[in-house]
Amino acid sequence: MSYIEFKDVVKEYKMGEVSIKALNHTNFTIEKGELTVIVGPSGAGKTTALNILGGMDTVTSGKVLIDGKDISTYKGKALTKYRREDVGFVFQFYNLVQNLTALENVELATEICKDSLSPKEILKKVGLKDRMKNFPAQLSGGEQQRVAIARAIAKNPKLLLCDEPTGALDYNTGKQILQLLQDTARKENMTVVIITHNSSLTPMADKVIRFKNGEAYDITTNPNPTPIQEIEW
Amino acid sequence: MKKTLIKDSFREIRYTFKRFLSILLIVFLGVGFFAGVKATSPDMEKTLDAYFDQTAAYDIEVLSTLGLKDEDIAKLKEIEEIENLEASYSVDALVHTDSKEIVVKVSSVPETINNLTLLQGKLPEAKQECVVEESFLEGTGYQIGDTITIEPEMLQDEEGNDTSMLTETEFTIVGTVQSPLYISHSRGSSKLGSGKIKYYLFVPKQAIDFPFYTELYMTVKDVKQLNTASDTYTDTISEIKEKVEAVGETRKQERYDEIVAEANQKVEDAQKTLDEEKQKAETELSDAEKQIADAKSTIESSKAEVNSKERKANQEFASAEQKLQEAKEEIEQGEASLQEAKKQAETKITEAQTKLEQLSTLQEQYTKITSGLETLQESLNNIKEQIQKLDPEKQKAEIAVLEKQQKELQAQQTTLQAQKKQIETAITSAGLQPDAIASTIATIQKQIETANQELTSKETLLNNSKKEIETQEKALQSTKKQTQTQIANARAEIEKGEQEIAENEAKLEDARKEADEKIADAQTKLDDAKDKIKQIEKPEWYILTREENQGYVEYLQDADRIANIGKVFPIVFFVVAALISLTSMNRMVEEQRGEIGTLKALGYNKVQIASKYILYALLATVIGSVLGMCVGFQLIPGIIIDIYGMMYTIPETVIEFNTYYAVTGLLAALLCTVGATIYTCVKELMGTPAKLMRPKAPKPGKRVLLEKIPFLWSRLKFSQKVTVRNIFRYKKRFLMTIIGVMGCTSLIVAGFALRDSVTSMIPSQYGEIFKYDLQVSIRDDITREQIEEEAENLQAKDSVSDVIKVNMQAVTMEEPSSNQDIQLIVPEEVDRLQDFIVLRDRKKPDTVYSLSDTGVILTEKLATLLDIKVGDTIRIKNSDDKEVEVTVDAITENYLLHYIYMSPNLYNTLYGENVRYNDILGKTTELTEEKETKLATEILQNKDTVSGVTMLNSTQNIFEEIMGNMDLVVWILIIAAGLLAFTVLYNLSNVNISERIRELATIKVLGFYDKEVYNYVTRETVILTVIGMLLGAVMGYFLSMFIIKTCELDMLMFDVRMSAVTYVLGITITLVFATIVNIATYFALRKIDMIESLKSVE
Repeated sequence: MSYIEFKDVVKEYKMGEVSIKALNHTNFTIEKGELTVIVGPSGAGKTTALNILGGMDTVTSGKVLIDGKDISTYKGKALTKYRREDVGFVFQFYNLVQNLTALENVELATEICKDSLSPKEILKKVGLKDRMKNFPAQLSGGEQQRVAIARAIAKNPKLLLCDEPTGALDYNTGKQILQLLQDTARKENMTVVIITHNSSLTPMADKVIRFKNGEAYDITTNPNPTPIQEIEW
Repeated sequence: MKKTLIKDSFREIRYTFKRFLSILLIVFLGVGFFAGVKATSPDMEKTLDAYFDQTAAYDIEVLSTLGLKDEDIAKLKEIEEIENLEASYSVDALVHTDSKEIVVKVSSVPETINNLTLLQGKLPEAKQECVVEESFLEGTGYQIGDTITIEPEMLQDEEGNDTSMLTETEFTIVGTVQSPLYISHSRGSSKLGSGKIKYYLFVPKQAIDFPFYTELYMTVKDVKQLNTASDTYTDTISEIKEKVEAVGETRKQERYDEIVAEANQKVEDAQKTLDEEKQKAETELSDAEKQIADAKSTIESSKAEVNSKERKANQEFASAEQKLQEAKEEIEQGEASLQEAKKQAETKITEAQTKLEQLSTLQEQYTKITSGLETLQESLNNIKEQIQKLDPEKQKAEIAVLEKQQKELQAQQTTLQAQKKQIETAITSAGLQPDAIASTIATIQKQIETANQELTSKETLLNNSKKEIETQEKALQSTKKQTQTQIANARAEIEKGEQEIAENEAKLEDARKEADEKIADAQTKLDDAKDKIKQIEKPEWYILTREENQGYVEYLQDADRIANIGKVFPIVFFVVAALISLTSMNRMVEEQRGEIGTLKALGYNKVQIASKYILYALLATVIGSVLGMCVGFQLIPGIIIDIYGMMYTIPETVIEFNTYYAVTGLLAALLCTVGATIYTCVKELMGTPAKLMRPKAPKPGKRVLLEKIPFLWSRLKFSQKVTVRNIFRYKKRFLMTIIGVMGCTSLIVAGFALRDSVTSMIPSQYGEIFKYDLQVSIRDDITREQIEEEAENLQAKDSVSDVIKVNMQAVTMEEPSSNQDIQLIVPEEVDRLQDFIVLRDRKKPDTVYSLSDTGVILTEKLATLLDIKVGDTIRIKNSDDKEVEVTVDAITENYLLHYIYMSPNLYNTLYGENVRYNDILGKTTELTEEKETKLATEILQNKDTVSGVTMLNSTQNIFEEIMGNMDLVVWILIIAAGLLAFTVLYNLSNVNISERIRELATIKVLGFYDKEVYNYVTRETVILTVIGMLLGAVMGYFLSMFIIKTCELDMLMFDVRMSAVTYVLGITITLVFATIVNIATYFALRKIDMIESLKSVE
């Protein structure tokens, strides 16, 4: 049994009379420790899938099994608890709390979770040893995203979800961030899911899931992922 | 503005309808409250004005101490500005119902001025009909159609006789009315019954018969269009009033002259009559005197006559008597000679008689002896016979006896024969023969007889003449007697006449005395009358304007009070509301910077871009303001006037759209919202499109001051650190929240404080300061003893526990000068005053003052108003206009009206006269209202002494009623402030959430539970709210002081009580609203979609 199983998931949004199926009987699985990249054009349903994986949204039908637990049945507090303990989230726009320093932003996450890692250690790991006391406004975009990643992984989650983590970054910085994510997955044996519309990133992944019209139409595994440094786009 | 942009604007409104609505609502509240409260006072004034215009209420009223006459009317009509004038009558009267007597004011139905508003039924037409005020029916249980008996107060007519003004006593109620003269519940006081007029009623003029009018009402030209509460009106009227006063001056003099002349004429006439009568009396008296004198002389002459008569008579009598005497003497002579002759004759006779007698005796003896001898013979014969007859043997004893007798008889015979011989010898010796004796005797007897006859005839002759003389004498005597009687009678008559004269003289004396007395009396009376004329006081004219109408003044004062509250409350309210809308708009523009950039990039100019937001703000503000005005202008004055309406009878409330406050409110609101919008737009539009389209650099985090104190900072929990940071992160919101909450709390605190101060004033004054329950006013013309007696009477009543006599008089202060009404109170017993009135320091209630003989005690508000301190010297002018200088000993706690307390000794020393006690203060036992009324009526029975009774409870009730209404107004303020608190907090919370929605969505994604998210946000709000509340409590104190001082009237002092409860209530109410808002926030936070976190920064 796979670590993550997305089984026949349907997500339907009702806009008055019209109902739009963001996910239409989608199926995929992800193994533990895999770095998965989900690609597809805008509106293909990849973000919806990520939201559901991250416990931010619920399914209309189907099952979502994470480490054997069916989170599609979770509601309210259980769902929050799942987010709190099992998921790390990296946003396209970092979503750091501006009023808190890099360290504090990490602490914001670790404060509420049981098996958290040391915020300072994590920040050191992401290469921000010297910027810990800086406020987000005092950091560059890449550095801010590093803080965000640190915040996500400090919780020691089962699953690290990244929504267009490089979307707001320049090429090089984006590369560094992806490198960090790849390294993290490798070193920490963390299950990482990255959403991107940039299909040129696919070689870095262990598994590539392609979305189109709410369906995962193509799932390929990549036994030898390309290091990010070698990928050009 | 381009079409698309307009479309965009409206769509923006639709999408952000909540925000639009919140701005609209806050503007609505702010403007509505501002406009409403502000408009209330003018609306009240207009309501009054409209009512007075509609009923053609008087502008000037004239009263006179001597009533008013047609001449007065004629003179007043000459004043050009007087539009209309109507004379009217009114009198206090009693109406008896089953259970009580009620004092009413009966007036004539007005025709053109002070028109009545008919509520039910019809106006009176016949003279037995009347109309009453509505509460009369409610209070007495009478109905339209019932008949009541009215007993009017007796008034003096021109001759000073008591007359009834009304021709009828029974009136049928035909309708109910309202009069503009009585808009408040106060109807004034009366000398009748309980002393308080309860209702008014009107009767037609036909039912009134009185020689003069009691009031004149006038309206002035061209003032109807003026607001009666305006200065222009007051100024205009005071100008006319001066003219009326001028007329008053002349008419007063004329009327005075007229009355004096009339009185003088009367006195003169009386004097004339008196003089005439005096003359007449004198004439009569002298006539009587003359008559008496005549009588006297007549008597004198008759007296003389009588005397002469008497004399004459006496003379005559004397001569007659003399003659008689002479005759008597003659007779006496005759008698004497007669006597002589008699004597001679008698001697002869006696001689003869003696002879005769001797002879007779001899004869007799002879005869006797002869007869004796014969008898003896016979007896001897008898005895011889017997002896013979008898046997000489046998009857020897008897013969012896007989023989003895024979012997004795023979002896006797022998003796007798001897005697016979002797006599015969005697006779023979006289020359006589014993046989001739008889003839001699006869001769002698004949001689004696003749002598006797002679004497008798002589005697008879004499006796006759004697008798004659006697008769004459008798006749003389009787004549004399007769004459004497006549004279006596005449004398008696004279005496009687004299007596009569004396009596008449006495009578005359009496009559004279009486007449003199009468004349003197009449003269005294006349002199009195003359004196009285001198004392006739000039009639006083009282020229009253509406400002002397109690209801009118009270109403306007209430309007002023509302205006005073309106000075502060709505402004605080408005400022808070303005700040909030400002924040909202500012936030909105900032949120839309991306769009602004886009539009700018598309080539729209600044004005076009800004116009979208301006339109947004403008729409929200205008709609909010207009709605606010509509509701505010309608609702708030409506509610407040309705509340005051309970105290006043004004039929229709005028609620106007007050353009001034509408424009002010709208402009102020626009300044805040549109101004804020323009400011923010201008600031944003300065940037280049590219910069604008890029997300605005989020506000950088900063270290706060607290972090520099590691000692404290390290102690804080992570979440607390976050909160501390956040608090200082949004300084604008920080300020807004604090100011908003502070404003609300302070408004609520002030509201409660005002309410407490207002409501506690009455219990403080009447419970703690004035401990007496009743005040009995004594008439002016009462002696010390009568007051003493009245006080004792009062004290003797069961329901009265204690009394004290005081002098109360209105005084004025010259230095420092004041136009306040001040009462001077001088208690009889200084020591006992504290049982009735407590003099103490408000701040230290244990410090009780007592009156000294060197200084006075002043009430606090008076001291404050005139800036008088303990030790200052003030000058007090008493009601007799005597002014004295005195030092202030102490300043005492007091809430209503102004008083100066002085000891009687000091009064006597200062004013140089003994203080006259004219009031009695009394304490009662616990009494029901009914018993109190009964007691008042009972005391008033003593009309000769008592002029009025005031029960403090009733005074307290009136004030409580007024203050009760104030209380309601304050409640409105509190509720409004609470609403504002709610709106402010809700709005701020919304702004807070919308501003930080990404952050909140993110922490939700991070797995914060709902409660943690809530705490993350609201912890800071709570802290800010608490800070705001505490500051608000402090500010509430100052605001309270300010408002209280502004609202306070000169005549009273609020009992400023900033009790802990006030603060607790202020804080609690704010907390309640904050909690409601926080609950709403909790749900709003739950609704936040985590997807928001994924969105790009706009």
